[in-house]
Amino acid sequence: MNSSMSWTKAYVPDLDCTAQEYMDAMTLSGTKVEGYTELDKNLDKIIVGKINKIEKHPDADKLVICQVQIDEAGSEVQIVTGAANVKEGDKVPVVLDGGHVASSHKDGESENGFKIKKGKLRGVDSFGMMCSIEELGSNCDMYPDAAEDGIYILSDNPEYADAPVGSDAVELLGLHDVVFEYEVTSNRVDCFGQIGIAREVAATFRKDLVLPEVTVTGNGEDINDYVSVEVQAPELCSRYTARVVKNIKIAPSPEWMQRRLASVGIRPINNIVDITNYVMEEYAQPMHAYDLDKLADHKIIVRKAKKDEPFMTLDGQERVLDDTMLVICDGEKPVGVAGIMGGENSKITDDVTTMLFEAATFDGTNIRKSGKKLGMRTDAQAKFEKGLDPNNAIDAMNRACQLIEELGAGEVVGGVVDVYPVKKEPITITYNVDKINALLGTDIDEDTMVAYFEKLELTVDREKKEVLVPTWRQDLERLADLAEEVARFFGYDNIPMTLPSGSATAGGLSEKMQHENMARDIVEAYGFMEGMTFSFESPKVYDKLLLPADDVLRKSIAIMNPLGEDYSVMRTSAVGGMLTSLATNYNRRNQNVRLYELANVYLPKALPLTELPQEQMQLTLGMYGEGDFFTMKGVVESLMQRMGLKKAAQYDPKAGKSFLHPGRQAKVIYEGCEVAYLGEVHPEVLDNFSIGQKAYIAVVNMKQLSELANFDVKYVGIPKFPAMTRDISLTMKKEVLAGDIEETIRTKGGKLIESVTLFDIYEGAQLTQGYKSMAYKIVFRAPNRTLKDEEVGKAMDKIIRALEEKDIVLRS
Amino acid sequence: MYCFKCGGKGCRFCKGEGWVEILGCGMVHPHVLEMSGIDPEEYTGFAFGVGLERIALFKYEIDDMRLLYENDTRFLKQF
Repeated sequence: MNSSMSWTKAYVPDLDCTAQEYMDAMTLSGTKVEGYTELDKNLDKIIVGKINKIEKHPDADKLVICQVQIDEAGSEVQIVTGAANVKEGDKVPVVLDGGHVASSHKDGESENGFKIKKGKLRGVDSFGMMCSIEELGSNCDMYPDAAEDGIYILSDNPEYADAPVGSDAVELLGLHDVVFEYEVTSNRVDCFGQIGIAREVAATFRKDLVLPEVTVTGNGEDINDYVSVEVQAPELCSRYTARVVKNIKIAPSPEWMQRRLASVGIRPINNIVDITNYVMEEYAQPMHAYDLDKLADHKIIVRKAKKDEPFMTLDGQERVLDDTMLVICDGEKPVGVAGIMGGENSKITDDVTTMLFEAATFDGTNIRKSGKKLGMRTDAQAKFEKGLDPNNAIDAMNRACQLIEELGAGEVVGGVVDVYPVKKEPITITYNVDKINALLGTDIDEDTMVAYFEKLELTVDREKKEVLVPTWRQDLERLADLAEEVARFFGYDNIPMTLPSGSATAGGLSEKMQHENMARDIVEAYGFMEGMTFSFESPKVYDKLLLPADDVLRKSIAIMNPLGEDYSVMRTSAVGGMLTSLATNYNRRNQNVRLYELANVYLPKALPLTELPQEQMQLTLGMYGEGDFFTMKGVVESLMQRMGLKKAAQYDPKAGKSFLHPGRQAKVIYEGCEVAYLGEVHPEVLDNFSIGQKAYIAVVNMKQLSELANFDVKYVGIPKFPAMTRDISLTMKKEVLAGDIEETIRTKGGKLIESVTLFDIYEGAQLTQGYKSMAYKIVFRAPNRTLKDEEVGKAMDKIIRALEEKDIVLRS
Repeated sequence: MYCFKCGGKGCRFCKGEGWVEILGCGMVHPHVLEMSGIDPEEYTGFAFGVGLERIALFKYEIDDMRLLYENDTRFLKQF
């Protein structure tokens, strides 16, 4: 929604403020102004000039030298121009030396405009410039009388022909104006019209509102002799009004109307179209004009369309209607889709002589659904779908007919056809000053409140404490709505600030949050940085992660109204987001990147959803650069240890993750629960995400970790007796798992074993192909005595024999 | 609040308004209270909600929201 300062001032003549003041005040009183444009921002020293004499340029074929009169007294300046459309006697806009224009012929539009200085063109002095409409910051669409390519010849327009030489051309062309752009909420349909905006302006600035006086129109004839109207679907058409205009004379509309339409972005066409648009803008009531001679039987029938009924709208598109849509028909066929667009078969052309004007109101929801099904969205539809006030329709209709007469565009036939079965009555709301003050936290007296109401044209009965709400304010239903009106005009910023009071409770973090914070601290100590990705994911990510067709992670919840294909499902894994983030960093040549994310994944129990999905918190770690699988494993181990999972965890290499390297992945089992999985990213997946070096991922199930977490510590006596240590170096096939070795050592070594630590791994030329070497430190201790060499020797023998059975031998 | 970029003069960031929206708030509609089984004659409600990203943009003077989700380490390590 747009409005212009000059148009608003037609209804609020005493309005006197700057554009910025207007924007601030209107926004604070609830009519949000998004921004404004000062049309004359870059226009300076531009006057109406008259070309007295034109001579050829001695050195240039395409240039001419003009002597241009710049005041009534007859002063002249010399201007050299390349424009071909000027002749002696023409009045044109002239920017004088030192002035400004909005755009330049050569460089187009510029935010700060262009300064015009005197200069020489091919050796001849020039003291200014004659302007085209583009140089004045507008265009031929908005000024249809301006030359397409050349200087704007003002004197060609009869309305400008008498403009005094030397007068302000910007003023003449209505460009000393400001256009405001609003964000109107859909419950304020009235503010989609200039009058509605003006009413808000009058109330905001406490000025008088002067509405156009609509006069009685029409000749002595009776419209019923011209047309009959039948509404067969009254549930979808609350009111249908029609009037007839004959002897139509199509012509351009007057400049004042063209300027107002142009100021809100509507292109002037001709008097009939312009009046229709003007009234739509003024009253927020769309109108439609039919060529009466093209309506069969001179009849209008409002009915639902038939299933698959074909219809060509006036934009020349063939549409297929269905039986939920409302159509306007003549005696034989549809001539318009109600509230959306008229038909090709009945549209007004230049040879029209008699027309039917329609101003109706339709069911908003139905119009919106029909428009959606037809894939159409017209200006009229945008208004109708909000549900218009039927009482406003007749005012708009009569205003349009008044303008027809005033502009001499035709002869209005007497009478109105008005099908309005159920009249919409204004409602009454009881007000209570104390309750309103209680709701707002204010102390406003009744006089002030009543003054606000009356400025909004609500009728107040102070005896009965009642407010009569006009039907155009469909948003006012109850006391709270009146309180809102009071708050708007009292000023939200004037409501005193108070702190809430009540009993206080102790705050704190839940256990879950504490565990999450611990996890953050731990992984951050290892250099991981917290990142964030969207919970919305692209379904394509499953293929990038090489998930098999039946993988449970593919069962994700689809979003009903997604932002786009790439954000159309709820993620079942955060790995896709992590790899994308790693790829972004890789692509930007960041080295040694370590990221983590603590976020929910959304696992549906059934699809389509029968109940809310399981929202599972996961810690996802990702890294490339320094470090390898064992680095990542160390981080996960450390996390588990610090969370109190002190026993040894099992690492099962059959993690079954398609996106991890088949030989370098493991799931982490603690007390039979899968707490995490980790591994090197599958080379093909790296390719899919365009990551050019090895990357590692770990995913920790935070819920599981949190359940296993245990921060109970019980003191164990400090050993009184010394320990004995043995180091062994073993060789084995590469596939043998460290976990298995440790398990064997611990079981065979028995109770005497205190700890088993892997301290070296070697693979290389010293060993047979396919073999590796691992070295362990084994610590033995008994709580009640000093161990003897033989005891430990025996235990070691048992261990070594058991290992040998598994083809794990001492390194020679 | 006043736009943190221009301090209220109007700039590209605040679309010339001089103001930036920091949160939405208001009195709860009596219909909503009724639907929740609360008597609007006895109780009133006040609701407000802050978008975390928006606050972060203001606080750290970040001019592009996308940075928050790209996870570029050169960005992350500043915090």
